Amino acid sequence: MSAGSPVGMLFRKRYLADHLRDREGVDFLELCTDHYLDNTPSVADELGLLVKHFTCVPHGIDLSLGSRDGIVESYLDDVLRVVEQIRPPWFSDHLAFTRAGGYEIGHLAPIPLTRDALDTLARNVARVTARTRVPFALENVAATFAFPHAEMSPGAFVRELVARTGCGLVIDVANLACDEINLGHAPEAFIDAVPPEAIVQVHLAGAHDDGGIAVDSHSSPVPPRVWQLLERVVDVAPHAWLTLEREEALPPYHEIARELDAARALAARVRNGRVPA
Amino acid sequence: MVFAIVTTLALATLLALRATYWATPRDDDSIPPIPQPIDPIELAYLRRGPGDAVRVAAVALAERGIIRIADDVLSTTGEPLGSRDDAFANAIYDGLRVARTFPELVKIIELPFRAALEPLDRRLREEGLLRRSIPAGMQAIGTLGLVLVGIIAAVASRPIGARDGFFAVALLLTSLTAFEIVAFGTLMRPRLTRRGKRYLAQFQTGFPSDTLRASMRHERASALFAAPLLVGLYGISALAATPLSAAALAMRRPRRSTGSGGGCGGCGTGWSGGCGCCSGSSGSSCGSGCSSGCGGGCGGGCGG
Amino acid sequence: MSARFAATTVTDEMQIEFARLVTSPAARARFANAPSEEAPALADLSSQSVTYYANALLAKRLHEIRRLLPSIGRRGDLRARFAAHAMGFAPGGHGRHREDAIAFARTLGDDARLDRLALEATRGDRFGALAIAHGHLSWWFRPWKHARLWSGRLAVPRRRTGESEQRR
Repeated sequence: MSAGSPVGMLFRKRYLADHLRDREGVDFLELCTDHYLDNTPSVADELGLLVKHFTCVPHGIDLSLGSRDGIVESYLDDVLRVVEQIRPPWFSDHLAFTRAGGYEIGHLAPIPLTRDALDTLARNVARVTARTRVPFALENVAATFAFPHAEMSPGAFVRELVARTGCGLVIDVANLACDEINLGHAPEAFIDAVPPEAIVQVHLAGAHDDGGIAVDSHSSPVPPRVWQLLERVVDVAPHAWLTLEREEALPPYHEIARELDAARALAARVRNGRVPA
Repeated sequence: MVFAIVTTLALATLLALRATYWATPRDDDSIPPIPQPIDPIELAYLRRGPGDAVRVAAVALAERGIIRIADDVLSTTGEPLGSRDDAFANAIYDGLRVARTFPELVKIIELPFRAALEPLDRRLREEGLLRRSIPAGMQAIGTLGLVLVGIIAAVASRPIGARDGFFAVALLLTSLTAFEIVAFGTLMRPRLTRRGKRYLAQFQTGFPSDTLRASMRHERASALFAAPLLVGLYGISALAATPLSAAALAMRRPRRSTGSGGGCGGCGTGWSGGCGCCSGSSGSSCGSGCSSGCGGGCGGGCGG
Repeated sequence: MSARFAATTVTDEMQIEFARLVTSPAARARFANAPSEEAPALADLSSQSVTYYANALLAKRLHEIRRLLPSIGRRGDLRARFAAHAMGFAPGGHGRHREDAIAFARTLGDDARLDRLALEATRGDRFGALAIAHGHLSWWFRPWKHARLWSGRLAVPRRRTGESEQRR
């Protein structure tokens, strides 16, 4: 693993052979936890192979930490089983809810920025962290709308959550860029507000434009604005792990490798530009 | 009663021999990770023996445009080999100055290939991926001995039955059957250890055949290496319906046939695929096994 | 009612109302006409925002279904048919896309039968399936629950139809 920010990517099966042929190409792989919850032999083989050859970080999507109904225990059991198998430096999920009042949304919905939502989140995060010694981190989601009755800014909300739970943060700079377009939130204000020592990982990707709305499809190359935001995050959190999170419209591996190299170069440039304390 | 004791003793001896002779590193030991760089020749040799190693080396040259394969004929294109090409590539390149077909090529390059494969064979055995071999001669003698024991037992069962009754014959035949099963099992064990199988399986999980085929069709930049890996992991027939399908035809494995060289029809691990070298043969003993078992038929007769 | 309790109620109500709106087209339609009656806690939220989110959710579900049901993936009328299916079915939890695809495939009948059987077989608790469709005999089999799934396919010789006989 490189001396500065490790650079990795969200694992997509399409690139498995490429990763195995070029293990130096990534410092780690982020695995979608939910894909490995089915404990079938083929899934177990794939997970075993990945864990054996790469440092892996599980990233889930369905803990629904913002749900007042609480966490589904059986789902948490399954997630922790996968975490146990991977033995990662941390695992993560989203600052979101996917169910409420018995309704299954099936998608990540942003959390109302209220004190009560913060209480719910802190309670649910505590239930997760009480079950495992592996550190837990949360990722900001992109939104196309904001709930009314907000009591604080997104940055202040996350800062207080970290203070209350001690959780880590996965900053998705592509999502911040989407929020900037859709909600007018200032990404820099968010980055400056959150505690830098909590930032363990950064996601970067490209969105797509849907009639003026930025959709966090993670389906295109990383745009200049996201690189710019990444630079800002790396400046405050130089040891955060950088993760290219391409999910759709997967290009040939050499294009991915180019973006990984660009992330590495950016991290090195920021590191070299820092004045030693 | 005497027969039962003798047979039980023989069985126990055989099991003890088997346990020590075939001892390989414990299966629970972690299997080696996928190495970097990956060597498709190693995989082909591990999976099927020297014949597939030749195929992989030839396919690698074909993929690089150094040799041409059309209508079962292999020839060089005039493109020179690189300075970093290994002994396998050199052997094939030189062999194609004389040979035109795959069986002819195999016959010509057997010696240099065998020499080049020896260190690999040794390493694979040391790592517990390949079983230690029973020399071909011993294997033949053992098989013959077991057949003889069976015949003698069958012949002897009649007088024994007359003297000691049905129960004694039944006991004798049951014990002998168990003995023969274990003995044949010992002689004919597959070349791969369980550890070897698991080692190979992780490659097959990591490099599914459809991914490698797709890589050959669509991503020329990263395709170099896909075809040899495909052949190394899945055999030459996996090249069918790919840009190198001519290689699949020209170097296809022969059908197991009794008429292709007298005494062939082995386990598919020989130089040309269907001939001669049975399980457990090492690179070196394989060569001798082929020579003694199939004579000139190995390669020439069986290879087409 | 204390202010704190009121805030709690609002947060909870907002989340529940939002979840109800995005999973129910009828509720969305009512919300568009009378927001404060249909979802008082979300009265300040534009109905376009909710509709956009709901449509994005449907598009995401359909995208997953196209991936899971490759044989029907390119059919043109999928959007409308899926919207009709989604009105009465909202799967949740792990494996929701598979369950969504299986349920949707059922509404498509024979067109998606093979894909549906293959998906059903991937449920770890299923022992397998056998089907003759599209000129093939296909099977999926696992010897015990959660064991490795074995699958295969054999071409079934087609009977000549009367028309093709006549052509000959």
